[in-house]
Amino acid sequence: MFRNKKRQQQASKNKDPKTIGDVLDHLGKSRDFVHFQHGNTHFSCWISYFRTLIDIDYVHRDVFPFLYSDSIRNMADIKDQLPLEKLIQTKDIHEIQSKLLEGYIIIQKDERSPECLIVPSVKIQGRQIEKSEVETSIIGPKETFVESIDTNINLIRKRIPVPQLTLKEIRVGKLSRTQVGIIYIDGIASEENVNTVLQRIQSLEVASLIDATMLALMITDNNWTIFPQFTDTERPDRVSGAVYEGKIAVLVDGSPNALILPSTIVEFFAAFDDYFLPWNISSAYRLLRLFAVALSALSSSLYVALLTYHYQLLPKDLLGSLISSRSSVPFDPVMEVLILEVMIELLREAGARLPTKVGQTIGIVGGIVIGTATVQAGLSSNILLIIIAMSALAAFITPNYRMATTIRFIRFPFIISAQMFGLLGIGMCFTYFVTHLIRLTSLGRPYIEPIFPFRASDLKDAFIRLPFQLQNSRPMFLRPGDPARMNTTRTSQEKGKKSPDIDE
Amino acid sequence: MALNKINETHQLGPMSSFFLIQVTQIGIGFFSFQQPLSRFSAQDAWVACLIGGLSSLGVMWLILRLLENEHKYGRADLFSIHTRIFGKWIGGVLNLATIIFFMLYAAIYLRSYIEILQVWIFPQLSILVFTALFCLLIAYIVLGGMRTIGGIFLLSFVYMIPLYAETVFAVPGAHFSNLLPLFDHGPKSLLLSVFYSIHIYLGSEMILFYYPFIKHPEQAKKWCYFALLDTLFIYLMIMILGTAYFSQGEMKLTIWPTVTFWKSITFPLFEHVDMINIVYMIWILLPSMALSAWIVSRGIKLTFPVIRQKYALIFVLAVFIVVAEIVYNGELVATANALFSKLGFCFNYIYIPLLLLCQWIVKKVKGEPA
Repeated sequence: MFRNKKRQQQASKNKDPKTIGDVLDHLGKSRDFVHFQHGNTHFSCWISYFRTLIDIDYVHRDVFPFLYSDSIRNMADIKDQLPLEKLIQTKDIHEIQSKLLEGYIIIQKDERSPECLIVPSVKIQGRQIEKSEVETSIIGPKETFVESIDTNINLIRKRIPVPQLTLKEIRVGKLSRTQVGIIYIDGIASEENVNTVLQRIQSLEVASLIDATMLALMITDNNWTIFPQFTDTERPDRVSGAVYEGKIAVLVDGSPNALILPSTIVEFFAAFDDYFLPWNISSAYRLLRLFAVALSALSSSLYVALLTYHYQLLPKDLLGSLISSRSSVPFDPVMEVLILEVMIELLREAGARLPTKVGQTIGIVGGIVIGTATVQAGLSSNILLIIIAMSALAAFITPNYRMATTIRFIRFPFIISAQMFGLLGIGMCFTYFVTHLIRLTSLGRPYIEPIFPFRASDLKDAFIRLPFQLQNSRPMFLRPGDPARMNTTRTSQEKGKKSPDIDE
Repeated sequence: MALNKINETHQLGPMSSFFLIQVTQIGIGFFSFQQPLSRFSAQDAWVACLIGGLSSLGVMWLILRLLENEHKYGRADLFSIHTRIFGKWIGGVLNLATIIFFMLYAAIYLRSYIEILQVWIFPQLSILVFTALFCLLIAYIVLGGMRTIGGIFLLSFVYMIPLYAETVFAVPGAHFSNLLPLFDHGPKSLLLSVFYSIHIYLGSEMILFYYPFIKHPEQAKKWCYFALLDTLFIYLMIMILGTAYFSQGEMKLTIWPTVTFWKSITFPLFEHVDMINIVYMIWILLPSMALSAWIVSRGIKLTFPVIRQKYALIFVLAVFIVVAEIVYNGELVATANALFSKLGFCFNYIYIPLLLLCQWIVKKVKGEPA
């Protein structure tokens, strides 16, 4: 242990550059590092940059012409005359090194002089804003986040044009120094929540950070849970809605996902499209989704329990067809279920990993051909095939992908406990999961909030969504700085109007 | 002392006292209480049920009185009351007795549920395996602290609503003329029935232990009484339905009348609602068991401060498993239940008034707290 520590110290000592010369020598080993002297009659300087990181057109067009002009006599002149807003003059070696690696240009008087001028010239290259593919929307906005944090912030900021919208920046990752942006509306978001998020992200000890979902796993309240504790979304409209509500959004450079914190479990089953439909229809769809979750988690285990222990529960007429369909199957119900479940999991995983075009074919081949063949070969019964297919379908009704995988996963403990104790086993497994959910927190806030602790006012936008005019307060769950969404005196005045009688 | 002040993050809202009391009161007795009640007062058993329930309101008044008086002296729970009034040694012995009483009570409660499971669903259910798994569940709940237990209580209340509601489907099979003639029994037989009805209302006294964990206890008071009335209402309905459903001859032979009339309810995919309901009743068992385990382990921690609650919990659960194994047949379960319902009666109707009296005497002797 101690030796390890010593070794680490030595390693960091070796790597730590001491002078600007060390930095340039070290970087000079890369082929894309450009380091040259520019000189004319009355002024000369050294310029260094990574040609793969900087916007070369921009530099040639807007930076170099000024450097080569006659009016430049010394370093101070450059600072005065370059028409750029963010010129930094520094001797800090670490800053110079990190800026070089981000795509800035360094200008020095002499090759070894510690005084450097840092000129921004970052090339932003990434894909265009595209239509949402993961969280599709039929009538809502279709923009999605891209991999560049600046574009993503722009997408949010243009939806929230208020001065209180605050952006905090933290660098995460010992090596990667990834830019992480924390966005919230000052005065609406709970200060306690903001501080928790900042503190959790600042105290991270990691080497690198690639994606926002990785960050979500790193700052989660409970490392052992299979339930996602923070919503991840690729839709700026959803993020803006949440920020208006008093939540905090976290963006990571290089990630097309934003995190929304804190979250309750019901939010994972709410699609943002629910807000674009009349409240009664969207409430019905939310209930349908909950039913789908229950169906998906429980149907195969109920099959095992009923057929293994409690056949009394089945109607007599159904029993006949069940027996005839199972008569050619040589396995126990549980084996039959596990075979089919694993098969479906294989199909799902193959569909996700294979290239798009092959994936579709596999889906059709797997779904239809293998399904029918399994029944004909006597590996499983027809009825089970229907149940399993339905439950697989139901699992993907969940709008959030991470929650959908969780829902797909929790059926396995249920199947095993159903085999052990029948309905009682299902009951106990259910109890275990419920206890787990009660104990979970998201950013220190209870995870199944509108249910426990029971808050009737937050139920307005949970299992059902009531009309917008009734949703006049922000969720109590978030402990918002300003709980009222609208001017309550005015809304009550409008309510005070008498409803007209017939034909008035 | 750090224990005196319960951190607000571990406390429950005032309304949760409703769920805590209502759910602890409804227990395994729910399956079977009609039979012992109608043994003495036949069709008038519902009157006994009503009187028993109303008397539980009186007990609750005494308990709240006791706790409110104690509030001035620091932590208001039974363990602290014992040590404050009777001193370290006698108080300690009383605490120990309380701990043992509640521990065995909970263990017998668990065993009674297993008995029902064995009779109705799994005749060969291994007591050891089931209790072990169940105790793991309880450990997981109790380790989450009082808030998790509160959550389980709330969910239990919500989950039980459909169970009570679906009992409506048994109404077509009821003959309400069975309730006639009304008031046909003398006070003596009625009082005997009332005595037997007391045990179904037991459980509300557990507020003696978790009272410090309720925020704004003065607001919680009304919820306590509402909870008692709600329980009273549910038991009364089931009692009347049971009397109307069975003739008195049948009633004598039916050990679990509630389960039996559930048998007449069928739904398309659930031909045997009784079986589903018995499994469903795990949610009646679970909160009370978790609360008992929490109370007992906390009692051990308060009485012997060296032992941490986590480790006490392991011991408590081990005792549950052992006791459930020792009580090996249905007769023993019935005997133990009868014994503990008598003890529970003594605890609620004799010991608590006595304790209130002692508290009053101590106050007179030592004077008001500063």
